[in-house]
Amino acid sequence: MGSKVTSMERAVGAVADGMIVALGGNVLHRSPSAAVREIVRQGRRDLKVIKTAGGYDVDLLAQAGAICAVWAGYVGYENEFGLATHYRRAVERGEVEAREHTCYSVITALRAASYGVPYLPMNGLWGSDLLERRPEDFRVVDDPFGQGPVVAVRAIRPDVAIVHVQKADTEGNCAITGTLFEDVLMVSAARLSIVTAEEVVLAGSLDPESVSIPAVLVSHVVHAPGGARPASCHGYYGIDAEAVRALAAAQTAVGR
Amino acid sequence: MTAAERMIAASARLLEDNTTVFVGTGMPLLASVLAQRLSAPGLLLIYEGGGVGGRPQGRLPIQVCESLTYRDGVYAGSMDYVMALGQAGMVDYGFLGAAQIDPYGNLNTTVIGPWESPTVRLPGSGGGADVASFAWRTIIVMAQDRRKFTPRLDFMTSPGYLTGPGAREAHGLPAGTGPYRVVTQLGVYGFDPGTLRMELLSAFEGVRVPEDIQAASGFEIPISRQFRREGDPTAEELAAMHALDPAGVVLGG
Repeated sequence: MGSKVTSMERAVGAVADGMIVALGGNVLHRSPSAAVREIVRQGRRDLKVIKTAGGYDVDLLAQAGAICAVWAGYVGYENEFGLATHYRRAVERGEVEAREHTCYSVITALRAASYGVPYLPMNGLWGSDLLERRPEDFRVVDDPFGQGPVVAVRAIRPDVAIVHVQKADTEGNCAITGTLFEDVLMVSAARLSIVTAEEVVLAGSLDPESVSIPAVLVSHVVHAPGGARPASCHGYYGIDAEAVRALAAAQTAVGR
Repeated sequence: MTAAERMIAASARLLEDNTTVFVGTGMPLLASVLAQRLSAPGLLLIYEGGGVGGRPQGRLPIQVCESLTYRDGVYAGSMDYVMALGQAGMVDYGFLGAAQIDPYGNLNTTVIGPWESPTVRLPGSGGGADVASFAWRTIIVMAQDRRKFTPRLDFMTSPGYLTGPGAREAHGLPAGTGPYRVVTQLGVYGFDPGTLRMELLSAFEGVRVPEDIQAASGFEIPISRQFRREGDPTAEELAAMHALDPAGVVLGG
């Protein structure tokens, strides 16, 4: 395999208007923030985002008017940072469609795509309004093996997954330290995967035991130190609280 | 004595030793670590972000995803891994919050107003509906007032006892799972085994029963025959919770 290292501009150039984009990390941790800012700079529109729990990334895309729909269990900042103000406003105005999910149903949808099957059953959600409101993604079906009703979750195959990792080699093998969230699943499910990394090392220099994402699943590698900021990146930096508050307080884009 | 201190102490007292608890951020996290320190040393904390068994020394993890969630623990896993543990029935207690709750412990964290054109868009289910489905005992920690304790939810995100006895099972939810306790600034509620409707189990000192309870609820809450006073946090509980949250992130400045 040759080097997949490229610039942020070129890598994010693979994202086209209207695509389904999976974003790695979780709430304010290891979010692919620099790549998301590049998506905004390139003026993308009508993107559909999938993520279990979005924070700064989804809020920034909502502020910029880059998204039309979000499949997510949760969008917000947790604790003292409060609600995701731009996302909240965009949904309340009807500009962004909240494709209501739970964290585990997002995972189940991605897992189905990564397994190459059209849906997977999951335990749970029974009796929740989510089932009634979202027949596009959830159906209650009879277990063909006779164990009663199961919730079938439709596979969602992202056009592109973007994840930020601590270390990648030039071919795209990635070493993630700390919790993985559902990054590995996301990359397996997506057609294309862009990896941004704090450090890019020579191919062959990562201990295979430390590799969470194999190069075969990765299409672009970008050296992006600080690429998760203002979210944290375990082992490198914590949350930049001031920058998070600044986005929450900023104006939403007007006149789009 | 603040409401947060009381709610955290009361929540911690609910957790039995040598069980597992699926934790979110804020008060549930502080309550779980407090229980681990004082009364349930064998409590295994499973964090939504993938950390398992973290025993944070010094300050608490502020969010469910950070690395303190598995420090001195057993596993730095992934979210799909820990949620699958829950689906397989490995989670004894799950903590949830909510913007609205009804008498059967059904929860709304999705929208205020109609779902199609919400007045307030809330963060959504997160893992809420998942935890409410698969945890054996769900503990809900929330502020109580007449709007939050409502006979009718604007949206039913996370299933409690649905419409009453038999309803969870009829919908396919595992028998024996469901809401266990509701902890608010006024006291601790359980669910009548016969009706599966909320009842008052204990009230904090100074809370007038039933006046204050009823004034802060949009539906009638009967008093359990086992009703007792919930003791205020002890000096030991207070010292331990403040040591865990020296900056007052959860406890308030």
